[in-house]
Amino acid sequence: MAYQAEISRSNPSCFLFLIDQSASMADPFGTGDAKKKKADGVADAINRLLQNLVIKCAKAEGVRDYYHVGVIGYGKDVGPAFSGPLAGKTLVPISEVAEMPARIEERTKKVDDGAGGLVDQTVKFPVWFDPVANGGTPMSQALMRATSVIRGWLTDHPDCFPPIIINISDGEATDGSPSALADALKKLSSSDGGVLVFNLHLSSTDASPIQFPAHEEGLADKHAKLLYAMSSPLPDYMRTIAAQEGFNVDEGARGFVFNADIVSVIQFLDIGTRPSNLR
Amino acid sequence: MQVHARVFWLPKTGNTAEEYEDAFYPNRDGDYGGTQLRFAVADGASEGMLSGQWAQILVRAYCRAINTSQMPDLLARALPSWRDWKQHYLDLRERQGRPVMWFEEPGLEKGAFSTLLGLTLRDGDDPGWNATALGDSCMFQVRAGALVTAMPIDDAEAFGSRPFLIASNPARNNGLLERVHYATGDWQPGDRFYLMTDALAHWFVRECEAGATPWTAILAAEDPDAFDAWTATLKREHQIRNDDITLLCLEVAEDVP
Repeated sequence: MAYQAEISRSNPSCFLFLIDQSASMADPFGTGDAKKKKADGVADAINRLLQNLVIKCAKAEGVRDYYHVGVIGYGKDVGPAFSGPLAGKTLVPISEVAEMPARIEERTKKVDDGAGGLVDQTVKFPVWFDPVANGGTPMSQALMRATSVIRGWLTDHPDCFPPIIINISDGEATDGSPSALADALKKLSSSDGGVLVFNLHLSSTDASPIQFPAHEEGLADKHAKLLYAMSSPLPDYMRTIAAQEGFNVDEGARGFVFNADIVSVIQFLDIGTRPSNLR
Repeated sequence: MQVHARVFWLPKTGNTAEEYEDAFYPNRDGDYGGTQLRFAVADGASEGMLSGQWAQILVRAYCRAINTSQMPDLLARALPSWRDWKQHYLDLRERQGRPVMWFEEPGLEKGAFSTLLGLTLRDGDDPGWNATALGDSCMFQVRAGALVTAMPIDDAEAFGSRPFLIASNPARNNGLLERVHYATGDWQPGDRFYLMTDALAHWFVRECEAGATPWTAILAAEDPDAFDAWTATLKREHQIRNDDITLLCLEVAEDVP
């Protein structure tokens, strides 16, 4: 059966993020805060994805290298998009990501005060990426670069849990249809199954957020439908965990999210016992 | 009453002994005598922070409690021990110039999680056994070549990777007391009790469901090297998953001195 390989330090898996940095990302995002641009949504999503992936791999004695992580930006240029000490690197162990954010900000969040109320708590928020909006949307080139990176990874790690690629975009590719290239990427595989391609669609369209749909009905426009069609179905084990976490995931649910949180995908990963009272 | 105890433990393949997050008590092989003998195993959750230490605290809380096996009493012993230990740990980190990093903070706030399976064997005026369990660590009682008791899980389908566990952060223990399994029974000289964490317990239940006698293979593992070799084979054949493994084998002596 596919998607059963153990993720460990001796048999790590790989996450590759593709982030749209084109000029259209300067447009407003969704229907909420009018000042927020899609580029802000991208930076927020990628920073939170990395933060949660690091925390998932953290133990008291350090961060275990269950994953190697890469980020490819596409806009004016296509290439590795880490900033700070990781600049120019394609794939790095998750422990290096943990140690080398560009900076750590402090933010406040509301937490339960234990007596039925909420109080402000200061939390550290690491930042690896700042918003960028410049140039066209060469998504096809980004997918070709991803295919090259993943092919190299699979040569070195033929029995790994299949790599997961998360593309964050408004879907408005300017270098031709990316569908065939996404299919080629999904055809790559380890002995444990095919590469998974998930998409986060950040749109200016005034439509309800959608998480992990099993069909394209109700999707706002052709860009959403394109990214949905490019997305892999969630493997059974991920769908099981998603259902346990309270998500409504029908059979055939795909790794596609429209103007909503994709960070929950990190919780669907299985690297050991996760207590049901740990949320 | 005299009980001969043997302990087997090994970390998940690929992990070091320091990364082992199960716990057991007593912590060495030997003959134990008395009118009330207490034994326990626990399995710290890999996604929690410092779960191995929490598992250690829980087995000690169970085995050092006197005349109670009730979860509220056990928590009343374990939680203060945890708070003291955690403060000591954080002070030590500070003194060593290794302050808590941003990626550790959420885990430390959420706390540690562990199963607990405790067994008390009683002699004297009120002979018998009682057990307390939360999570998927299991106890099996075998008498004259037949399985007499399997608790708290006796169905292989019931093992999963999302058990409800005992949290070191009391705020995460809502609903815990309703989930605790208590069981009682009797014992006879020659009875064997096996306490084990979930990787081996899942295999044990599956073997029993198939009509096999898995304790025969356990008895054949006469020393830690044989146990390591045997479990390595089970892992290679995908009969058990790669996880920390703990097994406490107890045999009630035939001849009471």
